[in-house]
Amino acid sequence: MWRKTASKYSLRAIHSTSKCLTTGEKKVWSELSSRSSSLSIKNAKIKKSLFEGGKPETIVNIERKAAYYSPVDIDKTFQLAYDELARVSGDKYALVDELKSQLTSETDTEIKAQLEKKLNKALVDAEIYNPEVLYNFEYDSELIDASQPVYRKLLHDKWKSHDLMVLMQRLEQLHVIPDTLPTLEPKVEVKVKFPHNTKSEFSSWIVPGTVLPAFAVCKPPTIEITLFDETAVTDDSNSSSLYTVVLVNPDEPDLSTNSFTTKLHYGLSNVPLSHTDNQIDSGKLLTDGEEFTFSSYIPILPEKNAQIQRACLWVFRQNEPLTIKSCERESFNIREFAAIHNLTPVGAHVWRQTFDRSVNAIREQYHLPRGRVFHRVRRTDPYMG
Amino acid sequence: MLSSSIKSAVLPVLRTFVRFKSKADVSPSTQRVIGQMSALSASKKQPKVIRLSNEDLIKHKSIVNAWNLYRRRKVSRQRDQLNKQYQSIVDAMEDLKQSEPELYVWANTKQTNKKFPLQLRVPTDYPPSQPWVYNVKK
Repeated sequence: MWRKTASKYSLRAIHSTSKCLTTGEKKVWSELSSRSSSLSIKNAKIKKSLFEGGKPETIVNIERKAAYYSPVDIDKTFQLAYDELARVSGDKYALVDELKSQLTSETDTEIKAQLEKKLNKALVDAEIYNPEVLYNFEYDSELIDASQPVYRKLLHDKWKSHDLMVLMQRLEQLHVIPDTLPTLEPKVEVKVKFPHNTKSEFSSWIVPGTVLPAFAVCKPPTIEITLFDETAVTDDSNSSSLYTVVLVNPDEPDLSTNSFTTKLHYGLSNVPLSHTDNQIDSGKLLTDGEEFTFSSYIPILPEKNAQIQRACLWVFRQNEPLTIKSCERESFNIREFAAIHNLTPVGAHVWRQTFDRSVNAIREQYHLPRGRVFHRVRRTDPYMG
Repeated sequence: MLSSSIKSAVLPVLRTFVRFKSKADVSPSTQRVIGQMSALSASKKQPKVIRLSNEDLIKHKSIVNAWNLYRRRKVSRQRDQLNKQYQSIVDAMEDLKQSEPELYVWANTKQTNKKFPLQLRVPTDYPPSQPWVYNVKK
């Protein structure tokens, strides 16, 4: 059936190839007055090679470009597919306009929230098949604009397909859940990096569960928190919600009880985040660091022969602005902290650390006392605690 | 080492015409191991990457998207049609039950004495003009 229609329309496609872009001008995806410019391809050459065919502009090497041949009839078929997809998108944009007009006249907050949800879905559906959006998402990461619902949806799907699974696996295998908090319903993507490092091994985004040396974590990390759900931000990009970030080490040796305690290493609160402004980096800390920080950053510095230690970073969503003056670092109870301040855990990250040669130098840098050295002690009964 | 042995195992296959039975230069046991390893290899377990330029990959994806939309629409249309057909059958039977109860009972009795009863005929989208040949002659 499809083949029949394709051959029926292919003749028309041959005659109108020269008019491809001129006819495309009228379509929803070519219209840029009401749509964001991030929804179209920035590079004019690549855009031309996508819509008009010819040798692909993305192949830079001249010899490879000359030797490359596109699949037979891909341009004609693509034009047919594009027309069809744009037609469907036009219907979706009609729905968007209708929902917008309904939203302006509506006063009930509950119905308004439902309408906003519908509007968001319609906006995603209207752009999800746009080849230019797909191209930007796949190959031009600079143009990914998180204020657009379609890019948020694509980012969310990508995160769910791999990174979220890795994170949850590590959180469970390393017993971050339930050693620090009982469980996590992940709502945001948390990415951590230590940009003061020069080696790419340590300066890029950290995979959850990696064992890092002390020198690699000696300065506060850059934390990127990608928000996906629409309830997180009330308006499109203007207002933002507040977040608390806490870094704890649940493996601090406690000799008095012959066990371990949790120590607080970093605490930030009242951090405003939105879809576009989602990084807590050194720039933000320089300007508003005093205001956010209730517990300054001290790297986790495991002592010699102590076991491998987990750095658990938790991100909470606040229900109201908090006033935390200061917090006791030693024997920090994170469950109590979350309960007192009415915090909802929305994201987490974990890396691990162990004693290495750089620990002592960094202890001096932070004016910490010399670390202890642990030894095995032979007990009378090896099976007793 | 292994790659060269695989290459030597693969090259004779690529020949289009061989007059005599070719003698493999690897022993049957090695050949078996190569076969097992290639069957277990990761590349066999994931779909092949389409080697196209970025533009063509996006075009390919868009074509697939349009095709899926078309197919989805077709399937839903067929499903709606079948639902309507089923509903009309139900309505007709209800009508029969109200107007002619005897005929309704007769229509619902199983044809146990027949080898190929009428119920055996599976409903299709395109039924023939003569739906059932009752007097089949060999």
